[in-house]
Amino acid sequence: MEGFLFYLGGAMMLLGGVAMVASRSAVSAACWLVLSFLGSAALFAALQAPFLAVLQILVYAGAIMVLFLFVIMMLEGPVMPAEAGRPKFWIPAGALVPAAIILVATARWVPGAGLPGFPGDLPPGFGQPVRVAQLLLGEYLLAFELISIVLVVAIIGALALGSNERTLPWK
Amino acid sequence: MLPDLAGLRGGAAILPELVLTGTVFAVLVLDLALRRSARRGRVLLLVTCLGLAAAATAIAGVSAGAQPLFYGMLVADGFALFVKGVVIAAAVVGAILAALSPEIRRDQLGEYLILLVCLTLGMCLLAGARNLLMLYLALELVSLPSYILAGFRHGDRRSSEAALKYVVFGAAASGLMLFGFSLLYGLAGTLDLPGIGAAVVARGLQGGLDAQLLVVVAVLLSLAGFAYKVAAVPFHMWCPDVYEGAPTPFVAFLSVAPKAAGFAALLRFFLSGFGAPLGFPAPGEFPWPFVLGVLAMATMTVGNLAAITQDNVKRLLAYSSIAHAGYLLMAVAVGSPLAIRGVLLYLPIYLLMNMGAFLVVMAVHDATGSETVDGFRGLGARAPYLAVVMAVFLFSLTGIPPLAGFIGKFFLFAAALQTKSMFFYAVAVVGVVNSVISLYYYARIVRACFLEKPADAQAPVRVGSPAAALLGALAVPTLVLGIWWGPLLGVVEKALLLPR
Repeated sequence: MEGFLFYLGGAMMLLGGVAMVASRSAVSAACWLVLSFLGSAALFAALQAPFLAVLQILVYAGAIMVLFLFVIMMLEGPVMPAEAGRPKFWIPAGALVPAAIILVATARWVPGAGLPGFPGDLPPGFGQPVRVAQLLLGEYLLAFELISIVLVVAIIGALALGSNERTLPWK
Repeated sequence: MLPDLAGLRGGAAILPELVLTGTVFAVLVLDLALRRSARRGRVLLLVTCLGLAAAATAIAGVSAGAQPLFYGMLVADGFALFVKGVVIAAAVVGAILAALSPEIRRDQLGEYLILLVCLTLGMCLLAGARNLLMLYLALELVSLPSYILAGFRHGDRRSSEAALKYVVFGAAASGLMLFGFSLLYGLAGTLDLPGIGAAVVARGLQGGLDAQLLVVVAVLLSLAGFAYKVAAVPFHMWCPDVYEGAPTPFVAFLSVAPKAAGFAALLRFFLSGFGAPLGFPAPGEFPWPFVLGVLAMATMTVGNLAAITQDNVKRLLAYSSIAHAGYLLMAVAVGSPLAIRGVLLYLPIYLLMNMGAFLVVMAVHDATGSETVDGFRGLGARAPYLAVVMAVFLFSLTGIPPLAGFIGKFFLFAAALQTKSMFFYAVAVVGVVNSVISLYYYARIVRACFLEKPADAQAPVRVGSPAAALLGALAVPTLVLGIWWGPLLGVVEKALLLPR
């Protein structure tokens, strides 16, 4: 069951990611991104972290993407002109998919495929909101705060690069 | 039920990082508040430099110790503090360069400085990270502003291309590295570097062939991320294009500071994760020193051979920086105390000579509009000061005594020879041959300065007094450290001597 969820989620994320990069309009790119987020929610579910899976859907696929789409539509998101001719990279990319499926399906019979790992017993309370909160505001507090600085960089960077063409009202 | 908060103690040890964060927001607010003021640029530069100076002072005040902070996320040992000092010094020079350069639009100087300080913050955290999660986050905090700053030359196709190539390469390298980290986590069940080291050593020795193979794959994948950050072969391809396209003041910074932080993280990854001094492997162990040594040889050779044919000085210096990553990688492969001392000694020296060389390139470009070797023709007559300091920086990069670069290289090669192993003798010989090759292309620029006449009658190249002063501040230590390196070596030894 977990294996099935893993491959399903992984395939959703891959498909969503590739289609997002390849799509010519900002709106459909955002919609493909939602698929990718749903795939990662499936991965969290497969890892027995239902709380994170729900959060992923509520916060990312829900709130953030709605905001995203809203802004894109308000700004009349750009649609890049279609390229002349069909893109050629689909053929090798398409050939990789069956190859990957065969590889994954046969990996089980490769000698020594039972890879070593640490014992996988879940600690009590794993994945529950209380435990997540404790980790977030305890052990991983510094990392959690650091992410906010990474986000500040992303915002300033978007403004700095985006103000390329037109001057911003406050400049 | 409250979690145990004891692990959160140690706020004093991250005071430099807190000061840097404060500087980011101070510049952000001032940039907005002073938007109509004519003195905005100067005030922002001053605040940035003051913030960086305060962070440097805070570093001096941190009592170095090996005890883990924040649940083992960070450590503030002498090694980390020294690298932080180098990185902050590079940031000060980088901020002044940006303010001097016409390539950075005046109304965007604030954003540039904010991103520069964020980058510095990321590098400081990288130098002290002892947990894979922290390591990865710090690396992203270094990468993200770098991508943006590489594309800062507006309306310039090459700058945008540089940024895009950097992003694509960077994303691929971080992907590989994350895959490696996840395998390491799967093996060890912890993200803590020493914990991983213990688990990996135990499993690698007891486990069968599968376990050993998995360790090898995981570490090689992790190595990809570091190799990308320090521009080592085979992840060096972004380097020349990014250096050529990105604004010169940023390239000067990029060529020094992220490399220093990347080497610090690489050293900690191998030394703290895989047992103290690597030495040469016991039979049955995977020969990391051998792998790193081969990478070092490849990196030096590719960098130096490719540099010979370059006409664009920024591309030439890009390949030269790849070559220098190779020399440093050689010392990382050795991993002995002498080698670590050599790496730490090399970083500030490399800062002086490389940022100096880029400052001259920037001055020549701003005056003549040329970035090629031909643009340096007759510089000795047109701007004697520039030509002389450029010669100092370039000969120092080659490693000719009595300049600082010689001392830096001397310690790196001494560390390789001290191992008394045939393999490292071979690596050192390759390194020496490469240094000779490098003399050829560095001397090409010096020859253009002093022995060739300009193609047409050109006006003298003028340098502003701030740039001239900064050049002097970089050139004088380059000369002095070549003769009197004792004090710097003393600082390095003190940093390494403190309890680990």
